[in-house]
Amino acid sequence: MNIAVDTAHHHLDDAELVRLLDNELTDWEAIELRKHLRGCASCAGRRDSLQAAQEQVFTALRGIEIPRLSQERAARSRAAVERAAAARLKRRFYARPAALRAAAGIVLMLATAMAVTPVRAWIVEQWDTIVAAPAAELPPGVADGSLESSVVSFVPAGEVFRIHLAHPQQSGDLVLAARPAGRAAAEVMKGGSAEAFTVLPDGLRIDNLSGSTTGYLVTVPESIEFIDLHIGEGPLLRIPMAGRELPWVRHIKLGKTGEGEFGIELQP
Amino acid sequence: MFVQRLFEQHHEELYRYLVRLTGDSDTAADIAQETFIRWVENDPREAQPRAWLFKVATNLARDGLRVQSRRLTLLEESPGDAPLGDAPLLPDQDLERSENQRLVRDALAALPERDKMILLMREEGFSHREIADAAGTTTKSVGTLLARALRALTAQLAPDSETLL
Repeated sequence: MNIAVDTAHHHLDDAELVRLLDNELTDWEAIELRKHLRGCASCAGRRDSLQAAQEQVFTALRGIEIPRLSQERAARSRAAVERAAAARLKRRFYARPAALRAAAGIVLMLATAMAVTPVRAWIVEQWDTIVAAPAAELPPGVADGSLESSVVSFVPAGEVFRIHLAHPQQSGDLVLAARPAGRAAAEVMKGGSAEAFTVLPDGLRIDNLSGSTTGYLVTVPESIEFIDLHIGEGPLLRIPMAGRELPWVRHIKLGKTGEGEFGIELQP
Repeated sequence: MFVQRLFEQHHEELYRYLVRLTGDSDTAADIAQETFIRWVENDPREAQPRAWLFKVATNLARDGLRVQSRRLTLLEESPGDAPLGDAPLLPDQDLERSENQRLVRDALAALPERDKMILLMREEGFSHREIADAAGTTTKSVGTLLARALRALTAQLAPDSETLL
């Protein structure tokens, strides 16, 4: 925007002075105004006052302490935004023509095939490079339930819920269930304590510190697309959740396999 | 996902701006969250996402999303919400700083909503054009409003100062 004032005969107004101080003028406009300021003590004085006011006010504003957003609140916001993104993605998917949906269905079938043993073995082999960052690199998660109670409740982020059984067990049970609400929950069914749980941004870590036969009940929101089960450095099981009808419950036996390796066994 | 990157890049500064604008950290957190959800739902494909986020957040704040009833509660924050800043100060310094901050917050709260928003967006580094777009005014008016806000705030912060306009 050009300044159409005759700066030789008119005093500069506040808007012009502020725009000059904020470098918002064209070169030509700035030259004209500076020329006027060199010959007008009144305007130069107002320019200096405005500049001093800017410094004082902006310094004061920057001095206002901003209460740090708690880790939990930030995580809740992030999860809410990711849920909104996932919901939008789902709406867009169902708005697409049938041919495209069929193609996506084929992709889903391929994903389901990952539950087959040879495919799973390959995934285990490639786990560190294709699936996720090592647990140590994940940022700490937060739970809004008390870790002193037997149930931890939280909102997971994303469409994949990852359960990391960090310590292989001699035996035990892991019961997975879907729930209609948007929250996940974890509960120790027998033995051990809820302190074994660490809520991760994308799921849950279970440390079996106090017993080798502990059982766990983990419920996930129905919006979860996959549950990835990762045990120690061992096998990975990917369980597709899309299209499941509630109630959905899966019983998994934890324990050693015949070869002495730690493994899992799906119950019908 | 693009919105996750956007969240990581801009959530903190948007929250900071909203705390100053609304005077309340809970309100600021709510509005910041709602702003990113609006981004997801509207999918604006903006060349300047930062300006879009601040504009929408400003509109949400202006629409009065819990702002009026929860103003100026910064001093009542829970002990767990540690403020951003340096190491703890000595008691006298702490008192003086608290008093200064109270003065600034009171002065800010006394400004008209639009003047306050324009001043805070300028402090966040936005251009007059971007501020004008967010405020629904012209770039020339932004200069006038900024000068008015500076004058009013300076008068409240240092009523006896010779640097007053």
